[in-house]
Amino acid sequence: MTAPLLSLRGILKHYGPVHALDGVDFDLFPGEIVGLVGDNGAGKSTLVKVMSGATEPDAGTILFEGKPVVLRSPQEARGIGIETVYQDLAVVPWLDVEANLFLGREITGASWWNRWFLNKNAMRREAARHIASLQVGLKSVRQPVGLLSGGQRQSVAVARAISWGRKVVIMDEPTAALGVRESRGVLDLIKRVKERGLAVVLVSHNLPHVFEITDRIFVLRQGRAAGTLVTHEAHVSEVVGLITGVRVSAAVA
Amino acid sequence: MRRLLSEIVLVPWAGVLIGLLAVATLVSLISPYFLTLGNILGNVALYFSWFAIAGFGEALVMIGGGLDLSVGSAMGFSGMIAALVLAAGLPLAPALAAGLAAGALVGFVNGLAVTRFRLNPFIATLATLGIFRGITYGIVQGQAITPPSNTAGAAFAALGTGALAHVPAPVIVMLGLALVLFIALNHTPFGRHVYALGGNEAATRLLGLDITHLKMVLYILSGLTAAVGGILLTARAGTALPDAAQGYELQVIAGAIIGGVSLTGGQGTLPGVLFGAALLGVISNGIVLAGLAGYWQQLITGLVIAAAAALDVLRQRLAYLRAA
Ligand SMILES: Nc1ncnc2c1ncn2[C@@H]1O[C@H](COP(=O)(O)OP(=O)(O)OP(=O)(O)O)[C@@H](O)[C@H]1O
Ligand SMILES: [Mg+2]
Repeated sequence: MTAPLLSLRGILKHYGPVHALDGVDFDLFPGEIVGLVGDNGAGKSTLVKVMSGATEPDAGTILFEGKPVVLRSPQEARGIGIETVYQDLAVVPWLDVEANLFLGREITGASWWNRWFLNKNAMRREAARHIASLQVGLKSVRQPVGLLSGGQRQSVAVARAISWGRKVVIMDEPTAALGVRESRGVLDLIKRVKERGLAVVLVSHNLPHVFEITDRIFVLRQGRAAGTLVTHEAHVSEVVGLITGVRVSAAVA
Repeated sequence: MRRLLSEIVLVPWAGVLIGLLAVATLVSLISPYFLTLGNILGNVALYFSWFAIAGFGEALVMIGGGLDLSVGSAMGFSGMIAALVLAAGLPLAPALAAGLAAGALVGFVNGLAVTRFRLNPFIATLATLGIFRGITYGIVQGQAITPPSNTAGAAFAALGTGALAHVPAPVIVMLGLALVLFIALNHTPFGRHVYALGGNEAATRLLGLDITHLKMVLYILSGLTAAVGGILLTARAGTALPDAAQGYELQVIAGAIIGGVSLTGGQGTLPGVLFGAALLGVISNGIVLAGLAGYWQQLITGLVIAAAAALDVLRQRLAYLRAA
């Protein structure tokens, strides 16, 4: 078996009396999709924030490609190739698709006289190329994101993470607010991410989605790892049992 | 044709420009004097130049999701500081530098209050509105300060009263500032970050932009543009009164809102602000030319703000309809 791309060991995060994460070990291997599931308040978003640099754990170590790393900010995580799609917080509605894709990483001119200025043509070209290759189905990269449908908006956020993420893309409930058809589009998009060789962490409450696209399922319960399953060998009732903590006997399953 | 029409309505500053042209037409029917070059440049444009200049910085703050109520006080404070430096016998350059620094100081305090002490921008800048007006009165004990009539004083006065090809100096400064800030807002990464900050602050932070730094820059810029307006106003008036520009924040903010700057942040354009301030200028001039009493101006300004807000709602609906 190959070495993990990203490993968390003994991750601890307490918010006052709340043990959001209580010594969690987690591995992500190259090119796989791992589903991160658990009940409300199980600690999924906290774990995502630890991996994406938005939160520093109280204790524990993070290994990236075998080397220990400290992620003090989302920029640092991004610097080593980890991109995150945060639930609901992904896009700026009044900026257009291209501006959203390049926000914080704008391309500027190359000469001394224009290096302070945006190179909008280059960014539009690049953005159109990304959007086309991901088959997101947007007419133009110059539409304000606020005027897109929920699914298209989420696709823009996912597309941004994919276009910049070199190693890992983390998504916290990317389909939570979406309808059936829109979820379909985002799921297909995630599958194409995997085809590009990136590793994906997918947080979702929707078990059918998780079963459809993941390779492994990691269950969190009350801040602890409740178990890891290989998706094609697992049964929904097993996962539900791990999530709720109610033992399900093999006979029932 | 319908498509072209809806494109025009969707240009953010189209509404205010149409309003401006309509009101200007009306005023020119009331008084033939309105459309003379001397009136347009010497009265109307000069009158709204202070509001537009301070309005550019105000608009940047508002697009970034904030608000600056202290611009009137910053104008009065910086004009007073510049006049005091001149009165102390120093040359023009240090006087201008001190005036601008005074405006930047107001902005710096606003920025600190909003970022470090996490005060609501409305509260923070309402406080500095009072604080800096009080300081302005305090340092001169309520007295007016008149710059001396030496070379420096004359050069200072020329900033307010001079003209180039009939265009008053403050109007030239206004157009120059509009151009520079337009480029900054539309053609640099900074401009995009300002729109992002006002449009979705949480996303902007998570994407790794330094929002504290951005907000500081925006409030300081607003203080600086207020200082430019205040210095020019003082130069024009020939003397610095401690109550100069008192209450101007309302006109400045009204001009920005009429020009399409959103109170909730993330939206607005500088041409819109320019046209919004111009609309206020034309209305004020029209009231004078029509021989109406000054207090009608407040009523009409209020109605125009209401109309602008209604138009904005309509525009956003149209945008959604078209996208659907
Ligand atoms: N910033 C915070 N301050 C205080 N408590 C927090 C904070 N963030 C999370 N928590 C607490 O930590 C626990 C885990 O929260 P987390 O958001 O990670 O859960 P989750 O598994 O993502 O839940 P959900 O499915 O509802 O999104 C919860 O009890 C939550 O209240
Ligand atoms: Mg969560």
